[in-house]
Parts: sequence; structure tokens; C-alpha cells
Amino acid sequence: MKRSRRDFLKGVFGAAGTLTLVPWKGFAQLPPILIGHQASLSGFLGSYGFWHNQAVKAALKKINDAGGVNGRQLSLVTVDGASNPNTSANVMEESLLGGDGSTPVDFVIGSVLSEANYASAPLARESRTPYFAQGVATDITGSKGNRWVFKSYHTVQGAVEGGWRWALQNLGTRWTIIHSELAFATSQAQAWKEKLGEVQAEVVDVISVPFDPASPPALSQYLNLIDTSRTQVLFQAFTARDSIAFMQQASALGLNKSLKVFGISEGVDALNISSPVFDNTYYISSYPRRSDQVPAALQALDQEYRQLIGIAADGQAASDPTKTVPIGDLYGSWQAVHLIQSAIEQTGWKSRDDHPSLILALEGFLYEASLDFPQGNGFIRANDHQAFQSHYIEHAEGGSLVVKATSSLDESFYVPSVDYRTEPF
Amino acid sequence: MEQLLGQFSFALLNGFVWGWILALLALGLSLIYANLKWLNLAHGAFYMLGGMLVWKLQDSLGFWLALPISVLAAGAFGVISEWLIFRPIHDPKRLLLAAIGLMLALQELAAIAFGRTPQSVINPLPGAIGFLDKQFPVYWLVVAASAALVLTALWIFLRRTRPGLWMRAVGQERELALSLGIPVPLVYTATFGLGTALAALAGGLIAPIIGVHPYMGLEILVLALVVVIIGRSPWGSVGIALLISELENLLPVVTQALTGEAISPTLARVSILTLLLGILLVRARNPETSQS
Amino acid sequence: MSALLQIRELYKNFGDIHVLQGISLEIGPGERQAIIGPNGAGKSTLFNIITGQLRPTSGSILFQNRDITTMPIEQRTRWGIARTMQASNCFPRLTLFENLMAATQRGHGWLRASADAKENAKSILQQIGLDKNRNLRAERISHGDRRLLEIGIALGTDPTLLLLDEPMAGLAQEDRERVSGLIMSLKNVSLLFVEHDMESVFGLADRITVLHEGQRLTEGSAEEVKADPRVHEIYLGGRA
Repeated sequence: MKRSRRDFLKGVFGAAGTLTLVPWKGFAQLPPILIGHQASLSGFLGSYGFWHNQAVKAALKKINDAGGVNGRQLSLVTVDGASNPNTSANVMEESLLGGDGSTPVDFVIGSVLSEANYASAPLARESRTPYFAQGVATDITGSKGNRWVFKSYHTVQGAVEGGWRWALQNLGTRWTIIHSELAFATSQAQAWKEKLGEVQAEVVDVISVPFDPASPPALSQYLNLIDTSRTQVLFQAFTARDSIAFMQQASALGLNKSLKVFGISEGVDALNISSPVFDNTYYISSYPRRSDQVPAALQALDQEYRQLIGIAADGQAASDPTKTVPIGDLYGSWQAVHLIQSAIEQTGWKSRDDHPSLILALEGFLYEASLDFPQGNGFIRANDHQAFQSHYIEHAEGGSLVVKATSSLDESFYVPSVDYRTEPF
Repeated sequence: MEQLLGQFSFALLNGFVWGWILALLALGLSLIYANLKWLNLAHGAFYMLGGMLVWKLQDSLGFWLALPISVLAAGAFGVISEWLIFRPIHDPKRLLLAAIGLMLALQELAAIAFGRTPQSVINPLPGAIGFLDKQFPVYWLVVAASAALVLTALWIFLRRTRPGLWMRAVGQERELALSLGIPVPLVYTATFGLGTALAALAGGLIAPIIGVHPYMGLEILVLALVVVIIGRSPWGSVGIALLISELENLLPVVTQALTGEAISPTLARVSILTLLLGILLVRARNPETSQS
Repeated sequence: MSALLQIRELYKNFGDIHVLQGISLEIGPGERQAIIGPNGAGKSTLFNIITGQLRPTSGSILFQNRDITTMPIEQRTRWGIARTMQASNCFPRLTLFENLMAATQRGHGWLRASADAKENAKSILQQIGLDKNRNLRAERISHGDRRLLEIGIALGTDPTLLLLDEPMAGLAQEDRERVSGLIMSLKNVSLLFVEHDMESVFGLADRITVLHEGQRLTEGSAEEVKADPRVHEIYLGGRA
């Protein structure tokens, strides 16, 4: 019902489709490898979901144009989880995992909604399908994940580890945390509370704001509760419309002048930050939005990568300068496809039966900066299937994000909370 | 002590800002309901239209010109939709379905035309007034004042002018109004245009506070419906809107001062609404205390 | 022709039921005419056809020699035919003054009422004796006062012909007298009313038309009708 390409092909070519396609492929008589994408195309994360889907499509095209993986083409099945955990899990079960009678996909690229990842992780295990979650809440490679779940991109904990040293030195040590009650955001509040406690910085207050798409984002009444006399850093964890509302209300109240407003870039990734309300706010990001801020060593890759997905040098869509691309976020999906490719090539994976050896190959997988991994060197930790990478501190100045500092991959390490390797396949 | 006083005053002012905006919205919806006798579920779409048009026109026209143009455009669209879509429909259920359809259509059209990403709307009056240890944005005060002003003007219009008298009369006794030669269909169209323009005004005024996106209409629909149902009349809705907003702002500050732990504003709102709905139910069951 | 309203050969069928079977009557300028008859005689149907709420199956209605048979209600109002209805005769949440302002459509500007229109409304309030209550909402006044207000609203349209649907129905004796007093005081307006209360009918009407089973049984002055044995037989006899 929500399937796209496969149904379309079935409909157009009917039963004869396979017959006509096989001679065209010549020697490649093997069926395509099916990649499912559980995207949040509609709903409040629609602007993220669209671009993740673009990134997956671009990655597939790049691989297929170069002859596929071990001679097999990659074929994409996209479903829309509507930015809702249950819908996301349901469409995955029905349309990706064969619940509706279709051929189950071989791999799933997961939603950007952490709650959807939580709801989908058990399905990945039951169906024995590797699932590459794209939400950043830490627990997906902790208590909520399992051996079939991978994270090809950082989680909140990695961002906190990558950014806390700089933040405490440069922004201040007395923090008030204000966050939305979404896993994405509560995960940040939790991680910072623990980290600040560990390093003996002060948490003045933690203000949680219910996530309610059915009410206008009246954040000023929460901002009123901030103890501005004791606070130096206002850490904010919101997403999409709440980020805009937060920035507009906080800047109207002068909080971005009197306090250091800080956050992780995922919350504003898809937003046009040229508005003055973003001025003087700080972010931990996994990749600079503007190409002129990218480290020299990655510049060449950056150019190629932006071109393949359609991202201009300023981080806006090449086709439409009014649309902002969540460039940092997209790496997760882009890299997931290339992790799959690399692991197949390395293990000679042929079918779903070979998944265990593919997972073993990914556990501890090292990757180097390349067009497949343009974000730079990184690796997948064997214990918890978590990717590690370097980080940036970006500062909004006059409508653009400027990199103030970078932190190495090593700085983002933290102690794994689980060891999935003890789980049998 | 100064901090508490600051928070309390801020909450009081902030309650007025959100309260007056909600009042504009609820009054528009309630006027339409009082006259046409059906709840315009597309009301939120006109609020969205007001906000998004202001955002779109702001760069070229400036906010203060973009706002009236957006309001007029949305109101004109309201007039056209009443005339083309709703007037030919007489079955109440179909009217509701048509309104939901219009809402969804407008949302998707806005998403296609303007994109789905939330957008920031620039504050036309940067600057804040300081008191105690707080800052209060000038623009927010202007929003509260202009919303209050518009509602006062509307009150005078409804009380003191002939079209205003007609708008009140038609909703009370349609048949009599018709027989007296009051142009009832025209009054319907005008009421719908006025109501939707009020929604657009609310959306346009609030845009520099919360930003805009194509689905923002859904955010306020439930709240506006509840306010209209509890308020029971156009001016009753205005009162309820202000009351809810004030309590929602003040309760957290008061509870924090008393117990050290602030009740969440959302929880405050839910409790207030539950209480008011409870009162409404009791009154509905006990005809002696209820109107008519 | 001197008649203000002429009704010619009205027939009205509801399916197989022939409610009116060729009714004709005339009302002259300044005349007060009543229509009476037992339940089911067709009074209400006739009244509703004259007010414009129903269309006749055949026959015609002429007002000041112009055919108004199919004319919409609001246009009849503009031509000078006013009426009260059994239900919904006033705007309950408007004040008495506003009720009258809503009724008067002449002498107004587009946005504001003229001083004349306000004077007119005030004088009607005085005429119906409710001037002191003019800022009360209509829902707050007594049942009897409301009947007076309803007639006042009808007068607000500046009618030549006033149609009253059971003006005494449901009123206490005291209120009936006030309504009668008001009706008797009306000048320059012809009156047609349907009424059950015989005492009021005989007191108010110059001429009475008696309907029976959709036909005109008789017509005449109060004395003539009272004296008619057929009337006694079908109607008065059964009651008295």
C-alpha cells in the first residue's frame, strides 16, 4: 500500500517483467539485492525523511552505475512511516518484511525518528534483517537495540563526548537544559545531566516541554522558568517546528545574548538559519553545513558528495535555494548503504542466510575517508554496533554556521552499555 | 523575591499575548458557528494561510504591509470558499467533511507551494522592555494590544452598526431575519469572511513568535474548538481564551513558588480544560443553571 | 378595485388531501378581518399561503392589484406585508430596541442607522408600551410583553397589511387585553388574523371568514356570524 518502486515495476511489467529484464542484465542473472527504506516522508520529520530518501537513492544510483555489488544491482523499496513510531513499525513489518506477501527486503535503512527505531528494533531481530537506525537517541545502541541493529552515524552520547570539553571551557559551567519530550531530546538531557555531574559542572535546572503537535509551541511560558541569574549555558533540545519556535521566542527574550544557547545540530539541521533569531547560537555537529568550513583534507570528497545528492555549497538544495538540506544527518543513510556494500563485498554475502557473517564483518568494521565515507575516518564498534567519528562546534554568525572547533574521533568515545556479541544470531 | 515577582509579571503579560491571539481565533470560529450553525473545521487552515502568507510576503513588502494583505487575502478566500464550497451544501455532516477536505487540501497546497519545513518569520519590532530581572519583547506587547484593539473594534461593530446587528440577528432567528428582509445569504458570506480573516490575523500575528509551517493549522484547531465549545458564545469564547491562557501561564509560577516544583504549563492547561468541561457537563445536565 | 388584498379561488392539495377547495376573500384598506374555523378547517394553510410560506396548488393572490402568489417572503415584506409567526418571532438575545432596529430596513445608511430610523423604533416601542424596557434582552421579558414585541417587530417593517397568526394564543386574560388594545390602536394598516379565541375575534374583527373543511362556510360581521346557525353547528355549538 505504501510501497513505491517495486509495486510500480510489478504493475508496469507484470509477470513478464523478469523475463524481459534478465537478458538486459546479461550475465547478471542474480536477482537484485533489496534495500528497504523506512523513511519519515510525511509528518513533523518530513523535511528530514525526504532528504534521507534522496541520499539513499543517490547512494544506490552511484553503486548501481558502477556495476552494483558483486554484480548484483541494489533495488530500493521506500515506505512512509509518517514520523510516527507505530506507523513506522507497521509499514516496515507489512511492506518491507513481507507481511503483505511480498519478498522481504534484505536490509532496512531505518527512520530518523528514535521512537520508530525503538519500535522497529525487535522486528529486525525477529525477521533477522539488519536494521540501520537513523535516530540519534543513545539507547538504540544500548538497551533498545540488538545484534541486528546498527548505527552508521553518531548518537547523542557520541555528540556529548565530542563536544563537552569545548563547551565547558568556552561557554560556561552552569547549565539549564530545556528539552522536548521526544526520545531524541530526552536522550540529550539525560546525557548532559550525567556528563555535567561527572565533571562537576552545575545543572541549574532541567525544563522538559511535552512534545505535542496538536498545540502551538508556546515555549515562552517555559522560558520564563529559567533562572537566568544563575545560568550561563542554555542547552536546548528541540526539533523541527519547536526549534524554530524556541529560537524565535528565546531571541525575542534576549536569551541568545544574555546566555550561551547551545544544542546539537540535528535539531536545526533542516532549518534555514539565515534568520537573525539563530544569531549567536552554538551547535555540536557531525559535519559542517557550509563547504568552506569543511576541513581541507575532506574538501575534494565534500564537493563530489554534495554534487551526487544535490546540495549547494551553502547547505541549501542545489535545485531550490529555499530548501535546507540536513547535510550532517544524511551521512547516516549514505554510509549505511556503503557499509552494506562493503560488508557484502568482503564476505561474499549471497542471501539472507549469510546475514550472520555479514554482521560479524561489520562488528569492528573500520572505514577510511572516501566517497563512500566522505565524513572522514570512522569505525563501527563491535560491542554496541555504534559508529564513531569526529565532531565540529558550529556557531551561527550573520546567517551562516561557522566552525569554531573540531574534536577527534577518539574524543567521542564512551563506555559501551551493551555487548551484542553475546547474543546468538 | 524579585525573581518571583519578575516571573509572575512575565507570566501575566505572556498570558495576555497568547490569550488574545487565541481569542481572535476562537471569536472567528465562534462567530461562524453562531451564524451558520456548523463548526468550520477548516478554521486552522486560514490561520496557517495568514502565517504562511506573511512569511512569504515579508521579504518583499515588510511585515506591516504583509500582515493586512495576508489577512485580506485569507478573508477573501474565506468568502469564496463559503460561496463556492459550503453554501451549496445543506447536510451538516457533509459540511464538516467538506471543511476537513478544505483543510487538508489547503495544507497540502501550502506544503507544495511553500515547502514542509518550518520557517522562521522575522520579528518586525526587535527590542524588549526590561522590568525587574525580565525582558519582555516589544512585539509581543504590540500583538496583545492590537489583538485586543481588533476585538474591541469588532465588539463595537457588532453592537453599533447595522451589518453587525444583522450578524447577531441572523444567528438567532434565521427565518425571522429572512422575513424581515435582512439579506441572510450575504450575512453568512460576510460572517465567514470575517471569521476566516480573524483566523488569518491570529496566524499572521503569531508567526514572528512561533514561526510557520503548512501544518500549523492543526496545532490550534483542537484548542480553538474546545474554547468555542466551553465559551458557548462568541464573547464567552474570548473570555475562556484569556482565562485558559492566564491560568496556564500563572499556575506553573505559582506552584513553583509554593512547592518549589513547577506544574507543567501543559498539565495546567489540561487540568483547566478538564475542570471547565466538567462545569459545562454539570450545567448541561442541570437546565436551571444553563442558558435558554 | 378598492380591495387591498384579493384571494382568488385558492386550492391546496397535500397529496390526496384537499386542504383548501377554492377559497376566495378580500380585505379592504384599514379593514380588520379574522379567519376562524374548527381544527382542520384549513386556516393555517390559508394563512401560510398568504404569508408566502406555502405555495397554493392553484389560484392567485393579488396585493394592491399585483400578483404576489409566488413572491418570496422578504419581497412581500418590502411591499408592505408583515406577519407574525407562531414560533420564532423575535431575536431573543437582542435588546428590544435592537429587535426593532433589525426589523426596520428603511431610512438606514449602509453602516449606521439614521436618526429617523431610531426615532421610528422608539415610537414603536412607545406604541407597544415597552419603551422603558428597551435595553432588556428579548429573552428576559414576559410572555405577554414578547407578544407585543412581536407585533412591534412586524410594525417595524412599516406594513400596509399585517398578518397575525393566533395573536392571543397562550396569553393570560390581562395580556390579551393589552394585545387587543394594541391591535385596536393601529391606524392605516389592514389586518388579517387567524385566532381561536372567539371573544377576541368578535371584539377585534370588522369581518369574519369562517372556514370549514377547506371551504368558505360563511362570511360577515361579528353579529352575522354569531347568528348563523351553520356556524353554531360546526363550531360554536360544539364549544358553547
